[in-house]
Amino acid sequence: MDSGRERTIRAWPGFSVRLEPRLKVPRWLRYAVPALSLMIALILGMIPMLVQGINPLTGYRDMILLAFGSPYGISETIMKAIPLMLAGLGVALAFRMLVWNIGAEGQLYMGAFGACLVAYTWPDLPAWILLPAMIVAGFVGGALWGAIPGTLKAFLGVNEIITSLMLNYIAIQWVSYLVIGPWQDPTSLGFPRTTRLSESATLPVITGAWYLPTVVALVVVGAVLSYWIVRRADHTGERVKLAAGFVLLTTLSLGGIYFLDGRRVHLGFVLGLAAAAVLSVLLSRTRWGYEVRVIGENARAAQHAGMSLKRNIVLVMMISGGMAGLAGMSEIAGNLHLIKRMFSPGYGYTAIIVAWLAKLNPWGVILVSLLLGGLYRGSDAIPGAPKALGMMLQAVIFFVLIGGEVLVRYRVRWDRGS
Amino acid sequence: MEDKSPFAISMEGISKRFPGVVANNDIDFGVRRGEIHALLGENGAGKTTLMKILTGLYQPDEGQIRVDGRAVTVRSPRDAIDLGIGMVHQHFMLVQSHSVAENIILGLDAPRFVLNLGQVERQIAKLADQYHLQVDPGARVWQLSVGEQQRVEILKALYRGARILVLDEPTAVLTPQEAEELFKTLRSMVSEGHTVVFISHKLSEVMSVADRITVLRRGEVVDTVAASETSKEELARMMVGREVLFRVAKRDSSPGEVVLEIDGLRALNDKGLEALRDVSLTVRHGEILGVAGVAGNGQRELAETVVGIRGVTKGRIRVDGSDVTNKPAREVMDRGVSYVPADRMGAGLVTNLSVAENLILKCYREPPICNGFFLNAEAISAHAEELVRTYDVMTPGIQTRARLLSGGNLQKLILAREISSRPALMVAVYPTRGLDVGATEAVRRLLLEQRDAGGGILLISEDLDELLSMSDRIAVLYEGRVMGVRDSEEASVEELGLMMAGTAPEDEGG
Repeated sequence: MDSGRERTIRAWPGFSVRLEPRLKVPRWLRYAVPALSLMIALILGMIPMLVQGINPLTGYRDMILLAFGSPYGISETIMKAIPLMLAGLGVALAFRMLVWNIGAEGQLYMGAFGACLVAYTWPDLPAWILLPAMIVAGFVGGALWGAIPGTLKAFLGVNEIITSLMLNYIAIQWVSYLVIGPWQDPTSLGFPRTTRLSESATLPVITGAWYLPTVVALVVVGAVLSYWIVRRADHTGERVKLAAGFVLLTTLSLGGIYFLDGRRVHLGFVLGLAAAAVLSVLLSRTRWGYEVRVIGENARAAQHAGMSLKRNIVLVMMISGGMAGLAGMSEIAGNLHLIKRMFSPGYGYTAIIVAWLAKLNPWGVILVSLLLGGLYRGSDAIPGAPKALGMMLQAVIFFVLIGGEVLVRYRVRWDRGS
Repeated sequence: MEDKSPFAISMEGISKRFPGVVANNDIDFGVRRGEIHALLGENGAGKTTLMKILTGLYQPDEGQIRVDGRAVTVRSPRDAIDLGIGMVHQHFMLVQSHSVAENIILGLDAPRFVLNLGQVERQIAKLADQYHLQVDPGARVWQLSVGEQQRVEILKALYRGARILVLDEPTAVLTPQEAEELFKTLRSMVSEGHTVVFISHKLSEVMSVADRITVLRRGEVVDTVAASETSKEELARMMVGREVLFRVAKRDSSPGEVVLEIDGLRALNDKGLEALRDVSLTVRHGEILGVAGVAGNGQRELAETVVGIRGVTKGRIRVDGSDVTNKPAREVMDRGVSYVPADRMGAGLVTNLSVAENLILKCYREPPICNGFFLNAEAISAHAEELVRTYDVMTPGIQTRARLLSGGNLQKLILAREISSRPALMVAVYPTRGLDVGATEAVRRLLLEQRDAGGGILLISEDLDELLSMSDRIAVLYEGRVMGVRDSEEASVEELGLMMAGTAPEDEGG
């Protein structure tokens, strides 16, 4: 029986390493390997800190405390996580179908542009009309920007990695042009930023009148989801896993809610959670989600079953771009309340890491974006640390976790020469 | 006399375990110097694994290999070739855009810096001459036929100084005539003092060329016998552990109306070259039309144009009278055409999805599976449970990922899906390729039942025995043309073989 590929690496004479594919992966290994990888990543991450003359132990302690150690820290972490989760969900959807949308950053900017176009055109509309309109406009802005590489790939076979990446620069520069040109705040003394959004164009902070409804809505959504998730599981083991995941999720959201009152977290958080729920149902329970999964796993089989690849590539790029657009909309309407030049610190790129580390699972995206949001927040505030430290840690974690995957999929055997 | 010659190779107590599978269990295998030794067994019996251990691609968990009586460790194919063992794989490992000579010297240390290709070509020509391996050393590999490419692989091994040649299912891709040529080569190699091991699951060729035969079953050696002292029936019994029916019991057909009408069909292959040239065929309800031919003569394109996933450049295809030429696959499907593709894992199944999800691949748009936008989980499960039971698919559960099923069960899964839609026409390409005897029988029975239920079947196969026993009529494709159509009662293997090689039958007027 030929059960996959076996690889031999000759390390040095008389000594070699063999990688044998595992048919069955022990459950504990699936968790032990990422945990170990994370530890190794943290150890590697000490190097840049040492170079900077920061004590890594106090550095990590400060980071964790800053990101998760206080109600204020947690709420700021969630603030960073909101654009990551929205864009991450979009990227995860595209990657599910093996459409490599690297353009979430640009789609995020175009979403912010679309939302602001509406907000600046009709600033005096009541919030209950204006905000939904901005959400739609943000989604459409990102979706149209995503449709460009999608259409080019579907009908002309142009590589979407290149086009979506290149479009990022155009989108960023377009928004830069607006903030130093037609949309510049005349009172900004030359600073590259727009006028503040009107009161009705800002996403409400989850507090006051919004607080109780949000908590109730989250609990209801959580209860429905838990019922649905547990019923959907077929094996006891999977059921336990899903239930555990759900408990973690509820604790996180409820814990988050507890800390939200009187902080800055806005409705974009609810938007992100809702988007994850919608995406998860879309993928596993609908005809279209089934097509996406089949095409992602085996495009030829999909074609044989009469599925249209072209249509789905364009559609997936549009929805993916739309979600990234929502990230831009919520960042502007919820956090910044105006557009600054280069307002995103690479959320759209980090979204790729989020999607990948979450193994393209919508609920995983929520979890990972909270962790990476904590990293953004934590590295922001270490005294004496360079801005790039957070990015470096991100990269190291990403590399080590992806590398660790080999240990999950293969068994390593050491041969000493006979 | 051959009993006296010493062992060129002996493998003692070889065991190899893969996660969840014992591929080889305590195997003792000896090849005498100067013999042709066949390694016979069903798919999954462990033949290829054993030979991959011999050539250093796998390391045994236990056991000892001796070459010419000396204990050796073979860590890589490089070690193997140093010991004089060369292997010709089932899938050729050639660089398509390079010439024959360039392929042969690829990876060798010999010309350290300055490459004298002319000299190499002369050496190759000499070798080719010596062993009747006609091939032009200057030709590019992509220009060569499959049979010629195989000769290049053999030359590659010989050029590297292989004294022991291992061939993995060498005849799988050849016409009967090409196979005969290959056997001639093997005999001349043996007479020059080489030793040949070849892997096969075809009884007749094993009987005709091998000196001795070792039969493997489920990773263990059943026996090693001399070809002169055994029979096909005995070998078959050893292979499967029970008596085998060589012909499936088939009732007389009662063909009805024409279900598929192909008229003057032309189509291109993936390289943009014409693969079908003026093909006209008809299939009736309740009839199996077999299509014979060596792989690569337009079979794949024929199947794909009929099911609507390949464009037609000229000609017409009608299903039950309505024109489906260049209609999208979905529309053709809706007309009652189902498809069992050659490449099961690549085109027929989504192996990372569950059995249940694979079973709805063709009906996920229709109620009760789909109600507009949402899929109905209960209906999916019920559908899967029923098909798994009816078609006897062996699976731990309907939520099991398809990749964990055996080859035979994967094929049953596809057939279950494709037959359960009660198709008017079924296009089945190589439906039993790679299956063991038990699964082959089951698949053939399913196809015949479908025929008896009034379905038309276009059966494409490279196995003439299968075509002769299954089909009502047989068409032969050669270079995209129909060489002729025969009633299977009147057809002979020899005549079909000649037509497959491009020789027009004498009694064909036009």
